[in-house]
Amino acid sequence: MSTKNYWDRMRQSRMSRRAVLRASARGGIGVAGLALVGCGDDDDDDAAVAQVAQTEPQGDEEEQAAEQQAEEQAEEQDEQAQAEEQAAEEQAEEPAEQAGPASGTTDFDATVRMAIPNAVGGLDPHAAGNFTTTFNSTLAFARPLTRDLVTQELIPDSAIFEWVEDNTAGVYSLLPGMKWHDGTNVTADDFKFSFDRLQGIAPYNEDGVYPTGADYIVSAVRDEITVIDEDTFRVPLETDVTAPGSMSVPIVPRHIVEAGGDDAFNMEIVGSGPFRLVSYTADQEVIHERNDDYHHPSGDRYNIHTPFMKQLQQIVRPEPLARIAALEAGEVDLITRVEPELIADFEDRDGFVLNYDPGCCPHNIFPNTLVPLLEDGRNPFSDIRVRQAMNHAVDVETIIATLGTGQEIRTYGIASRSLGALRPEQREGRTYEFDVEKAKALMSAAGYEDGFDTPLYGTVGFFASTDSVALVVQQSLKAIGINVSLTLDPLPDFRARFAQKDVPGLHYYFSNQAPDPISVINAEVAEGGTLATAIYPESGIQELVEAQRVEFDPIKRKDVMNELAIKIYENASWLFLYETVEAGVMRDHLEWDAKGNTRDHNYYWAIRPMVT
Amino acid sequence: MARSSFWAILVGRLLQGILVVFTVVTIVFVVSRVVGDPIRYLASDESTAEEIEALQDLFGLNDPLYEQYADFVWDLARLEMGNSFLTGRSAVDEVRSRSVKTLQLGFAALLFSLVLGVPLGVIAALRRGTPIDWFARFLAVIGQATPNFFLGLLAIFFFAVKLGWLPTGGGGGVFSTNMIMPVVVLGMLTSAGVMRLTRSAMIDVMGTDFIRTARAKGLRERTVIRRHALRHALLPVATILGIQLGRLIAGSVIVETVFAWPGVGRLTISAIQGSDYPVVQLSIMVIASTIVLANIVVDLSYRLIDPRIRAGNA
Amino acid sequence: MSTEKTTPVDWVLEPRKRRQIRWRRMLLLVPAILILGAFLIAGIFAPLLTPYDPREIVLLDRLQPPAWDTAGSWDHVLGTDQLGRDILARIFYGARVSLIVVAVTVPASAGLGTLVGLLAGWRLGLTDKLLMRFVDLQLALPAILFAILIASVFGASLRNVIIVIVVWSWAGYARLTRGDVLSLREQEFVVAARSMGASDTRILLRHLLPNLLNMIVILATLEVAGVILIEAALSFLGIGVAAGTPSWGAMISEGRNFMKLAWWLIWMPGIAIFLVSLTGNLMGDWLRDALDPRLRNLQ
Repeated sequence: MSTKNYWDRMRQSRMSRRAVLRASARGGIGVAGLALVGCGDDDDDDAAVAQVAQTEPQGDEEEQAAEQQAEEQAEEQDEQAQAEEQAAEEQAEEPAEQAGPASGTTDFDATVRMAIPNAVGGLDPHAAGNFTTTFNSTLAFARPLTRDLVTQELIPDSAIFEWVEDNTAGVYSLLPGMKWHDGTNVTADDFKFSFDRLQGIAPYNEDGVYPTGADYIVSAVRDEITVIDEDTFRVPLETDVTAPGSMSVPIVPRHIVEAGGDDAFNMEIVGSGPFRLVSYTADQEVIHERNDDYHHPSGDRYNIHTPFMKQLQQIVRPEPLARIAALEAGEVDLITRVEPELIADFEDRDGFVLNYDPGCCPHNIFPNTLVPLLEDGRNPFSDIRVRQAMNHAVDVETIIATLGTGQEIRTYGIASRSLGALRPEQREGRTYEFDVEKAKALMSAAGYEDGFDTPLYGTVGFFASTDSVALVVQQSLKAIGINVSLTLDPLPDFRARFAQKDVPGLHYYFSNQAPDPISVINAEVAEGGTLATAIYPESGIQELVEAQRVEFDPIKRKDVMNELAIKIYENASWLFLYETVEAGVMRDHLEWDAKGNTRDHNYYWAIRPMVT
Repeated sequence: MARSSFWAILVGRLLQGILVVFTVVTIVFVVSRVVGDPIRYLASDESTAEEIEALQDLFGLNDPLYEQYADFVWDLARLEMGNSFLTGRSAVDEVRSRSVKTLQLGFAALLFSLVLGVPLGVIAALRRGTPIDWFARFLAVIGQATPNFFLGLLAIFFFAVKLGWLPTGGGGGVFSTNMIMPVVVLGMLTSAGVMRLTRSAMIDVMGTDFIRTARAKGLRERTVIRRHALRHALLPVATILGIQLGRLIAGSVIVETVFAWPGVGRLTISAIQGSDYPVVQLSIMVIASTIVLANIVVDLSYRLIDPRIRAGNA
Repeated sequence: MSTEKTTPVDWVLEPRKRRQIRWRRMLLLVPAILILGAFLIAGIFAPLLTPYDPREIVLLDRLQPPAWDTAGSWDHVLGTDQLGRDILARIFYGARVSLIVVAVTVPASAGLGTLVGLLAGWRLGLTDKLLMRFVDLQLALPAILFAILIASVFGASLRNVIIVIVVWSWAGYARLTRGDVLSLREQEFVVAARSMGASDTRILLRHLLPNLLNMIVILATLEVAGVILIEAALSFLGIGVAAGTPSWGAMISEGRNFMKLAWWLIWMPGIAIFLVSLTGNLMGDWLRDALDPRLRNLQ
């Protein structure tokens, strides 16, 4: 099937996969920079959604030993379940990348230049729609936890997490030696300040409302955070195994924000991350340089560490062709988020490396089943047969083969590398194959053989090809009688409409390839989710969502998630499209190993410039 | 015939100009307030109704429209446009730096079109009917018929990538190589118009009795051309400069996008799409004022230059 | 505009040269008319001229080169675009869109502008001042930004494009009409009509308008190219016609990322725009020379 082609291709490719940011603005009009809590951007910030709360064993070894065993068991089973994907991944990787320095000498003084589509907004990681939240989320700022690149488990970035008090609160213990870019020490107070600021309750902005846009990531916090000592603080939490993973709060320095105010901070950020800001000229260029005092040293680590490069320059070029031209002309070393066919010809050229990374974001079309669609009050999308018909009507394979790189894979609801995703054997027999006759039959059975009209809302300018795919879907649905009127908007407009949950019709959107998909499910499926536009009575989905939340046993939880994944798919909850492949090009003096993760704004520190 | 005082006319025009700019900005105000909604960009999906209310209060969006308008007028007068919704920086700062860049581009393009168009027009007129004339007119028509984004992208690929002579984009100082391609692409349309106009004005003038008299007086052809014909031929060019400025502004939006030139056109577009009211209003006001001022300058200088107008009426 | 009262003379030219020039103009005019005519026919009879639906997506046929290319075929004479839609069909239907845009906006803006100019130039006084302020307003409005504002508020559609273009271009007619009315009103035949007690309307319509028609027609012809380019620019910025509508500007906009891969995506509509603008300009020039050489300074 398509999976086989995908993996074959990966093995054949001489180039290692490199992640790339999503292709961007068609109009080149700075819209992408306004991406709000876009496709899993904040999910990425969260280092994705909660999973099993695992941490690196530290401190009391005896106590931790048993935990570690359980961890390892879980890891093992995890890996087995995902084995085919992981194993193939590792096989496809070049041996030189497994660990340690690659061939050649690293150039620690190098400047890496990349072309980006826009840089609007500011740099405050707590502010909605900012450049940082879209492109640069982990450059200058650290978060409490992050994910291991290979095992996808939660590991400390700046603090160790521990459930206490019968899973009703969590205690964070800061890692030692962390400093702000201005030299002062990071304390637990800064963490509390950051958590509070994101919720809008930090004392300094009591009078005003700071538009954060991301306060839902701290929604599990149920009471005031208390600082225990300089290195520890306690957070009362909902009993929810997913909480620590979802609370990916960028940590900002209290003394600077309080002293200078939000607006000043927005322009001149200070963080504790692997990069520090050098200069920011809005919509022109952003320059960061290596933070030599970063508390994770470089060396052989493959998880987040002190960057290899000395400086990272991001230069704005709205037009995709202008970015490619800049690369060819030698003005930049790296471009990301490019439409794959535009860079296909780089394959045969000396001096360039093509980066393809599997799926950052599954694309799906979400029907609104909450509100009536037709004038007589009916909502065709609440009938499972209509949803099934829609899935059979669209030829996803051809879309992948023609509009994509050919390496995209169909989505099955929960992203393929997420916890509990459908295993290959579970996909066979369940897949909604392209079958127009079957689709028509289902429509008739549901009583809609005359079809009906519906709007379809989509985005333009954030991902490549969404407008083209929307047109294809429109044509496909027309063939079974569904007349689609198309409206394409920039992402913020789309999200604003989608989030209201009361706009009837179809919404073409995307989610995150999150290791733990629970935030995705909460957002898009579960009742009351932030973006949920559907309820599925008698589907049993909601019960499963509740069940996994309190399932602290990682193995059992994975089974629950798998059940949930199957249910979502069999319920034809959405019109399932595909998981994107990210494409980019860089000069061959750069190496970029992110262990098969979708390289994007999270992994610049892993770029290794070699001495030429 | 009493000649109206130059200053009276100037003041009159300025006042009218202010009225015009004011109307423009009011239109923008009405359109954006009535239909746009910046709050959805600032609030999160989970914002409760109270939080959204609070945000709206903060930015004064809950007051009745006329109150907002009154506040707006008062703020405008003091040039206190507040901070950009998107960056938090003062709107005035945002617009100012970008406006300078656009003016830089616009002026250079205007200059380019004059430097290219006028001599070409004169030569075409003097060599009328010859292949040079046809070639010049052909170039002009091509210049007017080519979409500028098309030209821009081609230029990037040819000069920046293939030949490597020029940078692919970005801002730059007045004498930097970054200016070359944007200025040429932007000025292409205008220079074509200037060239054709100069040519036909020149032809007209050369055929007048005025010139024949000068020739009969025995003046050298060159003097005839330079001193007499040229000056009269340039008058019509001056009249269209105002319109051309408007076209330049329109063209600069596209050119700024293609070449990543940090001008005010691009800023306004992202501000419009982000419902960043302070920046939208300020930048449109700046642009409108520039056009109005330029038109006034052109009008007045036309009066000064053309003695017939000074004596009679326009 | 030249305010010389003497008629310019074709200095330097003998009768033979003059005939030569006239012949050359004729020669050039014939292909120009043919080309314009071809586009007109293409626009009107598009469905009859091509079996393809310009909106029909055939993913498997995407990015086919034109027929004369080795990889192309005569199934798609000008090739296909990134969604497999036949380009020749889209050129034809795009001609239709351009035709509609031109057919609606040019008369509308000419009509509106002429009306305003007539009133202002004839009535003078307050009417004149007021109307001219409107003209200044329109000229001061950064038209393209206003267009973006409208589009972001009301959405991109053909109707909105037409509205924007009409608003964009009426002032030019107004200004010129007014200027001409100002000079015409002193002429004998007008003075005579007035003294005979003819009503204002009669004078405007029977006496002034016919004299203005030449200039209006010439300006309109020249504006055709401009209108098409504006529509192209608006589509380039994504605020033109609705997604999927075949329009030359939109085709260039959609295809511009494929410039290196599939040159025909933008060169075909680009050449179409270019040809129509070119011939439009030539026609305008010829009309002007033929009807009223005095108006050579029209721009």
